[in-house]
Amino acid sequence: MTPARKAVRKPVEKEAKAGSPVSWLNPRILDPFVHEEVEKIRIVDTHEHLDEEEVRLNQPNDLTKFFMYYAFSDLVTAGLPADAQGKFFATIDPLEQWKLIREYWPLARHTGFSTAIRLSIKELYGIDDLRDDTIKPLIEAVAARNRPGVNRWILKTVSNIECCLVNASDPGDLARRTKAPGLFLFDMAVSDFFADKLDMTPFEKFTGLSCSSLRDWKRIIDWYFARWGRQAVAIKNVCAYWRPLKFEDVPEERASECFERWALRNEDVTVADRRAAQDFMFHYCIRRATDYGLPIKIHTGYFGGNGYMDMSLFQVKDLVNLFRQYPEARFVVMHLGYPEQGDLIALAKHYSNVWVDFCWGWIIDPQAGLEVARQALGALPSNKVFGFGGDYGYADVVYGHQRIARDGISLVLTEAVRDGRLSKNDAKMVARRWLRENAMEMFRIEDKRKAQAMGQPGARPNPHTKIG
Amino acid sequence: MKKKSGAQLVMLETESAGVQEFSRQARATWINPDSLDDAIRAEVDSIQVVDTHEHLEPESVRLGLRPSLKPFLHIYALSDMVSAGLPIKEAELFNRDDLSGERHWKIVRDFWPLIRNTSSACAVRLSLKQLYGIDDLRDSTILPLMEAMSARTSAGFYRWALRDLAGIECALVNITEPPAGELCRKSPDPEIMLYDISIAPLMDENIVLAPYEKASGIECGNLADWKSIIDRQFELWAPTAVAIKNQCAYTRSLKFDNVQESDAAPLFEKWLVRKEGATAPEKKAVQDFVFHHCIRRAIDHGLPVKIHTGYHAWNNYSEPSWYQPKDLTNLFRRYPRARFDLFHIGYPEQMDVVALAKHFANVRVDMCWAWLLDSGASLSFARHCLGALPINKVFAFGGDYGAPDCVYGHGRIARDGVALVLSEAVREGRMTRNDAKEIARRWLRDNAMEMFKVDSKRDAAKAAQMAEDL
Repeated sequence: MTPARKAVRKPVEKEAKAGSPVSWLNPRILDPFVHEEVEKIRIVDTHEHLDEEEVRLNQPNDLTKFFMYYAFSDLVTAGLPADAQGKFFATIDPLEQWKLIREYWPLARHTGFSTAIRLSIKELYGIDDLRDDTIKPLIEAVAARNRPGVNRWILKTVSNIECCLVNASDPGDLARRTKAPGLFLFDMAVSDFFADKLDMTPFEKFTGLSCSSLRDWKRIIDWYFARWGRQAVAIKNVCAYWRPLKFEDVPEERASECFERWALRNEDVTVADRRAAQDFMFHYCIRRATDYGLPIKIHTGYFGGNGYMDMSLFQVKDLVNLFRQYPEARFVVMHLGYPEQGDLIALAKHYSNVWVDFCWGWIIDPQAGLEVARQALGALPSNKVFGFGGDYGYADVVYGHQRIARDGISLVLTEAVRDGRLSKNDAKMVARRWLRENAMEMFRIEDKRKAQAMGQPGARPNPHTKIG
Repeated sequence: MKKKSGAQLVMLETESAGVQEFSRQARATWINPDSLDDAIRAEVDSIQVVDTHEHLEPESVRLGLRPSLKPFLHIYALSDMVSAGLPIKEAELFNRDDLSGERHWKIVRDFWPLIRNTSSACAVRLSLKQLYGIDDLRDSTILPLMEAMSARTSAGFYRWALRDLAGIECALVNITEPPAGELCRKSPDPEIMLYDISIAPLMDENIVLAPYEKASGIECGNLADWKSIIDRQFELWAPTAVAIKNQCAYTRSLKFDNVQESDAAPLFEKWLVRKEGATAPEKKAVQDFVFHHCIRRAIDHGLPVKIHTGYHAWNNYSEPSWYQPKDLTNLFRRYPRARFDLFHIGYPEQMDVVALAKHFANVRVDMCWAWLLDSGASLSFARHCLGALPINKVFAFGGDYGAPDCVYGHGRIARDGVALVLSEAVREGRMTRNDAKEIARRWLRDNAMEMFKVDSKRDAAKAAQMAEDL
């Protein structure tokens, strides 16, 4: 056994638990009571893109799982050359990957994205940083853990997470059938309905319903709500990546005409006509979600990746007509609307049907996370905040992100207690609400688990149905 | 050590031996050193800062002026006083160069107490203390201040104020009014002053072509000629210039559409050749085309593209829709090989700037002027940068003054602010001291040395100076 392997042996075998020594912030700056209470909380992780464990186990054991979400983008913005970017994802040799990025890691290792990696590899694999001499031991340590149960170990045992609300779907479907029921619960991913190049074929094949009008399309949407409405925890819309968040209330007659020209006859329609059809469909989904008691999650703010962001598309305040029109709907505004987080606080304070979701927020910009937490503490009722969502495709980095979230919330609550603005018991209550109870209530976790336990939808409900 | 009350303390302290010349001297400080990590503070104070943005006149101009309060209060502190109620006519009177210090003080004495809490005034007080041993502006200190300034008004004043006291390695200067027909000038002292190519005149609402025709020897009858004149300016100045600088956010929006040359050419001729009176959209189209052309030339010559974003200096005219950093995103997407330097943290849109610099590999953030505008916003901005941006994307100081007298005070606020943010990070356990030191060096010096190629530009400017002397 090499010294390096010996060094990673102990943490690999250790069953980590809440209150572990790896921390983002020095525990000595935190109130011990607040810190301990926050550590004990079994978090409801409101947003992930995690694959099934068997997918992970069959993937190459390389650095992709640490960098793909999202630290790679910070290396790119630090100057990682384009050819190195391509090669990184083309190779499966972790040492080759490291050679490509080793000059840029020191420039970006302090960011939130990278800090989550450093905290994760320390806690999970006993590696304190990425260096020439730690890549091989890291990969060996990951290999030693790469066996059935690894996701549960990372998420439940080490990260102390109750369950993850996952935004991922099977082909043609809006959610995923899972082998980890109870741990993974799913959003209905409705974004493809609002694609600029709407491809109805997968949905028609999957549902067995053909579409020759907007009325047909509504029937298909209804079919998916009937399929997933009882088990899904929310609907999720990420269309801010390609269009503005201003959804007009378009009459069905106009939407129908635009839909037929755009989606059925593939005519070259104007942007306004296409958006009219998209707008109608999102309003329709909101109404169906309300019927099924499903919250509406909306991506707002910053774009993942590099080099294409259009800030006019993701403005939180563009959603206000929806907040006014649908008082019975429950809107979960994701990612703090970063960098427009001030707008989000004001909207969540003003509208009783708007909630703030920190998912992704702590690692985009940890300072923004702290500032929003401080503002939320003074501006919002304690039931309007969801304090953590990892937003990862790989479980390994979830640990580091939740570590930042826990420590950040502990710090903000510690400040409030020390300033005399909050009692310790109040701080404990706020922490429990933000990290667990608000999400348990909002997403009806126990009900959804029961529905999931009663049987997930069939794999392919109408495999032989002919279209048309 | 004598402490003053208040959050922003003006203190005197004696620096231990072993650090560089400027920091061996007694120093006025912004933040109580007790609030800072000792090792980080020592490191930050030892850094010879690259000052990424100044408007300094040549020293010879300054030496010809009589001592007055103008080097301290002009523009920024004066604007705060106008905001506090100083009548505009009084402010205009203050700006005359022929007034004495005593006359200046009579104009502002009722308003100085109202603004001495602001960052711009804090920089004044820190500078007065450090340069001339005067702790504040009062009836009793104006005459001693004028006498102290007179005693210091001699050749070498700039090096003393900038290098010896403020610890500035080099100031990157943007001349507001270049010589007729030129976009830059030769540095009178390349050791301490290097220049941007100022493309502001090309964005002017009232361009006069004649001086450029005369300087270049090219008669300008169409847009192609104008491009040739611009290209010749780039060829002339690029070897010694550190960047190009665009400050047109003072007169128009930062949305630069990609106007085709075939569309811009007839508009150029209508507006500037035939002088037929172009509409605002027609002028904007020509300006848009010219700025795109300048970006392409800047890429060819390896020059960063500095852009004024955010707050408007002076008072009572600001149009926030003109200075939005996010209006620049089409340029960031279109020119991945350009290197954009966003000035003034886009204040008050600094969160947009952080997000843009995080997302786009070709965008950097520049804190020039920012510590003066709003030191609280700057501290917050630095904290955001620490967690959101790679460490090579921040320039932490640019004085943005026309005279060197206040560079010390502004630099002091920047150093103490950076030291405070890094001290917090170390104390909270988010980074090690060595990491903090490296970040301080990058933010205050190394990033700018690399980005603006300070060493090679300085060599080229010295060589040009020697060739001229021969």
